[in-house]
Amino acid sequence: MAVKELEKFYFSQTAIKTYLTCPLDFRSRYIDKLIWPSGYNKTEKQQAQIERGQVFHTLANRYFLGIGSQEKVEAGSEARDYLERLKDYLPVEAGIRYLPEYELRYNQDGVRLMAKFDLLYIDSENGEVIIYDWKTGDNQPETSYYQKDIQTILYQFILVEVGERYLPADFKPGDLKMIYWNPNYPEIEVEIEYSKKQHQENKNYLYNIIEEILELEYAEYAELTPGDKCYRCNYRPICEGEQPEESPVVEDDLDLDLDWEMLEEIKFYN
Amino acid sequence: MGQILKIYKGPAGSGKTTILKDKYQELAREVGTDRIMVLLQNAPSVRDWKNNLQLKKSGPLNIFTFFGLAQDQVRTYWPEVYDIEGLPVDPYFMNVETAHYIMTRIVEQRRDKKDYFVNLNSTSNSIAVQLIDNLNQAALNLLNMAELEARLLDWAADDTDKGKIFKEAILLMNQYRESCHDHFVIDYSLLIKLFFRLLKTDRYLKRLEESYDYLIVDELELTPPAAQKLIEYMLSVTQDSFMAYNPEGKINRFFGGNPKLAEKKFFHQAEIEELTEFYGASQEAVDFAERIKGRVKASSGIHRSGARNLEGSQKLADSSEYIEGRISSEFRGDMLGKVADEVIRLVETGVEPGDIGVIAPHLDKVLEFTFTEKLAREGLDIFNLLRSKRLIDIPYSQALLTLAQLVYPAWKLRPDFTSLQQTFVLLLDLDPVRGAILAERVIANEYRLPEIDQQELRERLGFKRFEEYNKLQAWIAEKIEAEIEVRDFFQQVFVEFLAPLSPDEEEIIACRQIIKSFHKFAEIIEAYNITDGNRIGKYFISMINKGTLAAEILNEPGQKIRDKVIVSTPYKFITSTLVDSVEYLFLLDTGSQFWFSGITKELLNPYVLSPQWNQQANWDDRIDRSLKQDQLLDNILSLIRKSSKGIYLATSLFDSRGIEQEGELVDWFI
Ligand code: SF4
Repeated sequence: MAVKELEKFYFSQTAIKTYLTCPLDFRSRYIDKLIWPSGYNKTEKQQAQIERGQVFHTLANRYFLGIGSQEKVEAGSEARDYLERLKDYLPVEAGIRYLPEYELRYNQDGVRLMAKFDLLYIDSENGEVIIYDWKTGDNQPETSYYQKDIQTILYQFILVEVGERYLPADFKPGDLKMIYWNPNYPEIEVEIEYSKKQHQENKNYLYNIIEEILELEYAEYAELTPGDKCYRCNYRPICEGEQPEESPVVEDDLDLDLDWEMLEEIKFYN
Repeated sequence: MGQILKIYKGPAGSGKTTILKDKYQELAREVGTDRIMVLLQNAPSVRDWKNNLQLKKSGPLNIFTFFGLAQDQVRTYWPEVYDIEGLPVDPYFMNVETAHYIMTRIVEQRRDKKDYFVNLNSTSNSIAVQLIDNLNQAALNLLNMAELEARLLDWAADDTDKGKIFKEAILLMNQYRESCHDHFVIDYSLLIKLFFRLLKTDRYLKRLEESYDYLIVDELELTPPAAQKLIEYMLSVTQDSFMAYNPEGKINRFFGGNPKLAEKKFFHQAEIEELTEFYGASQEAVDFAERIKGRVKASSGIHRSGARNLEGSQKLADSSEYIEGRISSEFRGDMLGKVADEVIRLVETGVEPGDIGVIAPHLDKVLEFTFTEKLAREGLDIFNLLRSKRLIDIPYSQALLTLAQLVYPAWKLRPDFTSLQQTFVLLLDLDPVRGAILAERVIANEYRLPEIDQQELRERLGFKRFEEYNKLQAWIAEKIEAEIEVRDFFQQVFVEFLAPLSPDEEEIIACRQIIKSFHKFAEIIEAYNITDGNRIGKYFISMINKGTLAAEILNEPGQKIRDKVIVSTPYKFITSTLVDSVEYLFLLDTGSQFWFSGITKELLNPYVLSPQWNQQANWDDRIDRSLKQDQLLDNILSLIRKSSKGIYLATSLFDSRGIEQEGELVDWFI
């Protein structure tokens, strides 16, 4: 993709986060499209952790879609435990609208954004709207981290802007919460409130970042590199001609395969 | 429940897709994207729709190909698809290359016992491809195995040898299908079957009903009966539907598309809006195509000898101004030379090279060589639509494969001289001469990178990249030593050697296509517990060498060819998204029988599997011939409509082998 094609690109939280971490990393991934297969530079244990996370997301999606017979599936005991904990945590109730794996896109003023929510929970009767996000990492979730996280900013912003069709009639930003939940810590709920003021701040923040990215020339990405994150970065062979040290599992690894799938063309005939 | 079914009917370029896109956006603003299902015919169209939407806000985009939708739904509702314990979390979806591999193994194992296919000379691979195609065609036509068998036996009629072969074929197809079920591995035909399993349940239909209000279908004429069945289901659960239909778009009729059935099923319940204005082709081209059609159709009955059959009908004669020129020679070489001269002349008069198409039913080396040579002298290039997309032609993917062959000597595959040379040129930044010297040294050293000291490198090889060479040598040795898995190997080469060389987008995609495809391949092989040792790698490489591995994505739609003269076969030219239309079209070898491409192979006959097959009839030469002629007419009309200023007809009395050309196409243009 040429730099100018970024104008058609919908920025996801992974893309913005990548840019914030290292603009050169962003350029390699989204402009040069050098996307590594997800297994690269991961130990077997890490690979297993990623797979477990993916399996859990699949099971959770099917649970909220009301697809029965999940017990027929051999998901591995850990992922199955996760599902059981999820069922205890959030039993499906009548009168609530559950939209799992739901994608919304925003395209205004030259700013294109997208979010894929793990779950949108809409209780029209009580005016309650929650964005749920499942995390499956080993670390205990911290409110302070997620409060400032680009995912929170982006997801709350998009839902308020784009979601009117799904939201209760007299919905206000203050009615929205975002909750991060990790089945490894089922008791902990990281809950982030929202407000009109926050919404305006988020809008400014997102607009600024996207504007900044869209104005960059190809060469300028390199000038912005922080340089101190390289030792564990997958692009180290390119930037520094050296192998990266073992890279940690980040939740975003779950998304990377999507980029692969998009490229796959299926041929039926000879 | 359907309220309105509206079908926009018009030729290519009449703006049908634009109308549908506008309709989609209008509805999306009203009810939301999630309430609308869009069915398109191929993945590039899906990408195009998604990328060019002008919606300020949108929800999930339910824009699919029939296959993409089936895959999405079978994956999502997977636990409801099979009523057995022990399902994997997701099914394994098998690409066509892997399906061929699995089927080839089954055929080979059987043939080793020397009791099946005794009188068939075809390779096991070619038999496997035909068996898979049979399954696919059957699925597209909604036939089960018993019906497929019945149709094949119909085709065999009284020929007992043939009947025996078909029975054997059915047994192997069943065996293959069983093995797919056993391992939860889903290929194209099984996917359709499983999707219909879902569609037949009330629970699933209710979900569809709750999810969608509108249906939009583009290129209805290309839909196979299975997709039409889905459309029927959708019509029963949605409110309004909007579709586009091109009455001339019959080109993939024998790849499952069934325009006649579509008309029969949907037209009577639809409001049809005819679009008569069009933008693609010129009016002259369309008029000319119509005259050809009228002329061929007017000669009634089944044509056995073209010239005689066209006797009664009016000759094109005066009304053939669209024919810009006729080139004929006794010998083919002369004819090709003259065509090349005319192409050069056109360019000299200001026609863009990309506005000239040279179409021959069979692109042989002689043709390509003559053109490349003659045009190169004038600084012109050709773009062969058939050959442009092989992964192996891209140095980066070639390097990936060459290194694999060096690291896995047990495959007993040897990279050829050129591959080695080009790989060194790329990886070590050498000039071609030094690349060649190094390639020779490696071959002489039995495909191991030789020890070369620094002085020798400087003196004999004259390159400074001592460290680079050493690094490569050490890297290969290390990988051989570590017996690294192939799937990891490909990605390591890419990351560690190729990506740092700043490949462009096409090169990256080519490499990723290989890595991705091998991953898929390895996943299925694992699911099957096949321990084939060397075979997998070997098979994989040969697949790429033969160009069977899908590489269509290398050229995104939108990148049209402008600066090269296009050379192609008819089908490729008509279906290519790289060329919208050209000004001048040269139809070569109009006397050749190759223009009449048959639709049948020894084990495959799409016609007898289609709903049009009349079970009372017997397959005979008459039907075969008539179908071939219909197909040719469709091809010719589509070709002409992809031109705007005129066509040239070129023929020679003798073909390249010195055999007289007697095909009847030549007579159509008299
Ligand atoms: S290696 Fe360093 S500079 Fe290069 S992409 Fe990674 S973090 Fe950025």
